Amino acid sequence: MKSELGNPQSLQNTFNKNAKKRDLKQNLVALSFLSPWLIGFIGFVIGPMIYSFYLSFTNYNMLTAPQWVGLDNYIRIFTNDQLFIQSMKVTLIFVLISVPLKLIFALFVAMLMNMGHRGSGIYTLIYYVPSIIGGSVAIAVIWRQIFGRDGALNHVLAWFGIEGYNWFSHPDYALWVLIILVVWQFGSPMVIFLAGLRQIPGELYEAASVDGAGRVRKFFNITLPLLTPVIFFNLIFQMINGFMTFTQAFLITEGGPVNRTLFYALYLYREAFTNFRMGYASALAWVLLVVIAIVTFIIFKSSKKWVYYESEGGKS
Amino acid sequence: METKKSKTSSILYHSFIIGFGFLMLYPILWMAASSLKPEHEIFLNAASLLPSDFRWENYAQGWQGFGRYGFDLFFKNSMIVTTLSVVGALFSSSLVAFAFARLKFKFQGILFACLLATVMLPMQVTLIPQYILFHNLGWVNTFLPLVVPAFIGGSPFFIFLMVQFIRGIPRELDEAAIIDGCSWYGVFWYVILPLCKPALVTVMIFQFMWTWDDFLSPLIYLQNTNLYTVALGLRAFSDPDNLTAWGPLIAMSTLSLIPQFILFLFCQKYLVKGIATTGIK
Amino acid sequence: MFGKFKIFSLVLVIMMALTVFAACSSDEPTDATEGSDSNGSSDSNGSNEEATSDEEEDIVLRFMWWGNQDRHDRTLQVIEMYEAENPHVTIDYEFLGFDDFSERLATQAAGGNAPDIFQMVDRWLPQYTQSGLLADLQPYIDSGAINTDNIDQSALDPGYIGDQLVGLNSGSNAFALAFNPDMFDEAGVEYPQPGDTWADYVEKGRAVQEALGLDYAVRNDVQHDRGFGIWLRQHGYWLYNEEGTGLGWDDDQLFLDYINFWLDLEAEGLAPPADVLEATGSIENYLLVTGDVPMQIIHSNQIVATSAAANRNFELTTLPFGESGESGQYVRASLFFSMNANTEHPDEVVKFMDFLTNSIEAHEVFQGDRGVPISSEIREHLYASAERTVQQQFEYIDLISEHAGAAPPPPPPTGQEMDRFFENVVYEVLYGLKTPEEALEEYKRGVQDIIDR
Repeated sequence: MKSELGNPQSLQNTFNKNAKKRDLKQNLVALSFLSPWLIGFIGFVIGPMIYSFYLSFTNYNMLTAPQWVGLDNYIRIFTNDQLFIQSMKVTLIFVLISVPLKLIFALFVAMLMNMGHRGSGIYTLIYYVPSIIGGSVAIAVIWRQIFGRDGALNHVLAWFGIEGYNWFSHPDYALWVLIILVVWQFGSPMVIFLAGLRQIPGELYEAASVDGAGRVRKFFNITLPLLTPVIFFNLIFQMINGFMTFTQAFLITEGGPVNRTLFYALYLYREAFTNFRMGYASALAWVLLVVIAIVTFIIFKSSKKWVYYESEGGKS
Repeated sequence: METKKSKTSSILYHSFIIGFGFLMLYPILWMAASSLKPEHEIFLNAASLLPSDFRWENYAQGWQGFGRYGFDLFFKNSMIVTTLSVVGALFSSSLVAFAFARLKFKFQGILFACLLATVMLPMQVTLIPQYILFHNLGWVNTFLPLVVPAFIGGSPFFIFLMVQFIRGIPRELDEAAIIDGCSWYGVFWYVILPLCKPALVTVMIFQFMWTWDDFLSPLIYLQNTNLYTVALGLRAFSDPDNLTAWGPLIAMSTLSLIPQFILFLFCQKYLVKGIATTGIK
Repeated sequence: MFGKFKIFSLVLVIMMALTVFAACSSDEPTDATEGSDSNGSSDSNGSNEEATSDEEEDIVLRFMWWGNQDRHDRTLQVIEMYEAENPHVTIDYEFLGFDDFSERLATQAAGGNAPDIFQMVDRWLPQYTQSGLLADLQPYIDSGAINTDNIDQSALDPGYIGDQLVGLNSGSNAFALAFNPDMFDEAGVEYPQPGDTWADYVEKGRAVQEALGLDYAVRNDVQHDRGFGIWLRQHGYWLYNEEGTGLGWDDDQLFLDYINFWLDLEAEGLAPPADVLEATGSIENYLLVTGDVPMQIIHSNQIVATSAAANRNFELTTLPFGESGESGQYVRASLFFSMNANTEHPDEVVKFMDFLTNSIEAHEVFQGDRGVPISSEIREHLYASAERTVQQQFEYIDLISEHAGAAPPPPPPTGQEMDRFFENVVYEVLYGLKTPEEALEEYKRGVQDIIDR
C-alpha cells in the first residue's frame, strides 16, 4: 500500500485515455467537488492577491489612497535596501538549517516511536506536547528564561565550567536559539513520518534480515526509499513555513540583536504596520512568493529523481 | 541469553526516551511550575522547577480575565471558532482532495499550482484587502471571517495531505464501485470517505491546534471583547512598556494547552494508525 | 458495519454543524456601531451638558486601547461609571496588548472602520495626522468642551502636530533615574541628585559597585530619544530640525562623544556588555530589578512596575545634567487619547475625553496608571491617598518641572523607524562590529535615506 504524492503531472499520467464525453462529465463532477475551494479562491483569495500585487506598484500608507509609483518599490528592493539583503540572508540561513534539522529530528524520533516498544503511544504524546504550545506569548518568557543569563542552559553549562551568554542577545547565537525553538516543535512532521513508517510492510524488513542486512543497511535500502513521498511532503511544507517564520522572532528577539534574527516576514510586517509602507511590503511579499515558488519548483522537479513511488494497486 | 539482551536494550530504550522526553518537556514543565509561583519569583527564582510554595492565585487572577470578561468566555469563544473551523476543514479538504486525487479535469495542473501559490504569499499583505472585503460584507466583529475560510478550502496543507491519503487507497475499489453503477459522488461517499476516517482525524487535530493557537485573524476581525478567543485574551495581558502580568499569563497559557492535550490524547491512536491503514480492507 | 456507522455519525455532525453555522450567520449580531450610526448625527451643539437621557439618542462609541491586565480592569471600571452617568451612551471597547495594537489600528483605519477614540503614542501621531485620521481637538479646548481650567498649557503641548492638537495627554511622565537607596546607604555613597553631572553619575555608580561587589555600576542608556536625544539637548541641539526634514545637529563630535562615553564605561567594566544590555530591556529583567546595578534610567511611570517586579522600593531623581548645567529634561505625555476625525459623534467623544481627563472618580480608579494626571485639581486630590509608588511619580513630575525645558518638536512621521535604526547602529558599535566613526556615517546616511523616502 502506498501513498503517492500530490504531483499533478503524474496524476494525469495514471489515467487511461477516456472518451471525450466522459471527460466532459468528469469536468463537471470535478467542478462540483472543487466548488468549495473555487468559491473561496475566487471570492476571498484571488481578489486580495491581485490587489496586493497592484499595491506593490504603489505607495500606500493604508490611510490615504495608494499612489502609483511603477517599479520603484522593486527597484529599491534590489538596488538599495540593506534590510532586504539582511532579512533574506537570515531567512535563507534559517530555512537551510532548521528545515533539515527539524525533519531529521522528527524522523529520528518517529523511528524511536516505531520500534514497537510498549508505551510508544504515551511517548508520542510527550514528544508532541511542545508543538501544541505553538506561537503563544508564553513561549517568549519560557525561551528567554532558558537561554537567558541566569537560564537553565547556563546552569547546566556551569557544571562543566563553561560560562554562557545571554544566548538570544548574542549576534552569533541568537538565530540558533530560534532554530532550536522551531526544531523543538517538530510534532507535525513527526506524526506524518510515523504514519509513513507504519505503512512500510514488515515483510520487507524480514526479507532483508534473511539476507543478512544490518540496521543501517535496512534503513538506507528500505526505510528511506519508501519514506521519500512523506519526506517530500514534509519538506515542501516545512520549507514554506520556514520562509514565513514570524512569530518566534516577533515575540522573542524582535529581530535583534543587530538584525541578526530579522526574518523576512518580520521585516515585511514592520514595513507594513510600523513604517506604514504597505505598498513596499506588498512588493516584498511578491518577491518572497517568487523565491518560494522557485524553490518549490526545484524540489518538485528534483522529486522525480529521488522520490520513490511504488506502483499503485499492490496489496500490503 | 536472548531475552536478557532484549531486556537490556529495552531498558536502554526506555531510559533514553524518558530522559530525552524530559529534556523536551522541560520548557513546558517550567511553565507549569511557574504558573504556581508567586509573581516575582517567576523571574528572580527562575531556574528552579519547584515553587517555594504552591499558589493558585495566578490561576484565580488569570481566570478572572479583564473586568467582566473572564477566561470562561474566551474558552467558550475559542471552542466555537475551533469546532466550526474543524468541521469546515474536514468538509472542504475531503471534497477538494478527492477531485485532485481521483478525477481528471481541465486546468488541473494550473489549479493545483494556484492552490500551492496561496500558501506562498505572506498573509500580512492580503490582510488589508481581505479586511476591506469582510468589512463590506458586514462580517467584521463576527466569527464568520475566522470560520468561513475553513469551509471554502482555506488550508491547502490539508488538501495536499488528503490528496496523498486518497491516492493511497487502491484504485480498484472505486473502479469496482463504478462498474456496480456507482456515481463519483457515490464513490466519494461510500468508498473513499469511510476509508479516510483516520486521515480526517489527522486533519481534525492539526486544524484544531492551528485554529486554537491563531491570534492574527482574531486580532483583526474580533473587536468586541465578548468575542475574544483565548489566544487573543492571552495577548491582552502583555504590555512591554509596563508590567506584564506574567503570573496570570503563564497560568492561562498552561490552561490553554489542555484542550489540545486532551484531544491529542484521545486521537493519537487514530493519528498514528490512521495514516497507516488507509486503503486496507 | 460499525465503521460505517461511525462515518455516518461523523457526517451527521458535519451536517448539524453546517445548520448551526448557517443559523449563526443569519442572526449573528451585526456590528453595533453600524446599526446606530446609520441613524444620523445626534449632535446639536453643546446640548449634551444638561440634556437628560430620554431627549438624547442612544449612541455607541468605540474605544480602543492597549495595556496590561491591570489597566484593562481599571479602564473597564471607569467605562461602567461613565455609562451609568450617561445612559444614552454605550461604549464598545477593544483592548489589546501593545504588540498587536498598531496592526489592528492600521487595518481598521484602512478599512474605514477605526474606533471613535483610541490611545496613541507620540511617535505615531505624525503619521496618523498626516493621513487625516486624527481630529483636531483645539476647537473643543477653546469652546470649553474639554475643561482645561486646571490644566497647564505645557501639559497639552506634547499633543500638537503643527497647530493642531491631535492627542490629548493622558498623564505626564518624564525620563527619570531610579536608584536603590539601600545600596547607596550600605555603600555609604551619597544619593544621586538633581545637578549631578554624567561624571558624578559614573563616580557614584563606581563607588557603590566597588563597595558592594555589584556586577555593574550603571546601565548604558542608548535609546534614541531618551539617551542620545537628552545628550543633544544638554548641548543645545535636538535629534531633528524644527521641520523634521533632517538632523538637528551637525557636529559629528557630539555623536562620537556620546558613543565613546558608553564604550569606555563598558571597557572599564562599569557598564554591561551589549549582550547583557540587549537582554535586559523589559522591566522584569531590568538590572536594577535583579540587583546588578544600583541605578538605572527609566520612564517615571515605570516606577510602579519596576518596584512591583523587584518587590522593593526605589527612589527617583533626575537624569545627570550636562557639563554646562543644562538638564535637557522635558515633561512628556505617557500616552495620548485621540479622536477619529471621521467619528459620527465628535461631541460625545469629546465629552468622554473630558471625563477621562477631569473626573475625580475616574482618576480614583486609574490611580495614575496612564501617567500623572494633567489636572492639578486631580493631582492634589489623589496624592494623599495614593500608593507610595504613585506618589513618587507625582513628586517626580513636580521636581522635573523645576528643571525642564520646552518639549522638543515632534519627530518626523518616520520617527519610529529612526529610533529603531539608531539603536541598531549603536548596538553594532557596542557589539564591536563597527567603529564609532563607521556608525556615524551609517547613521547620517540612513537617517537621510529614511527621511527622503
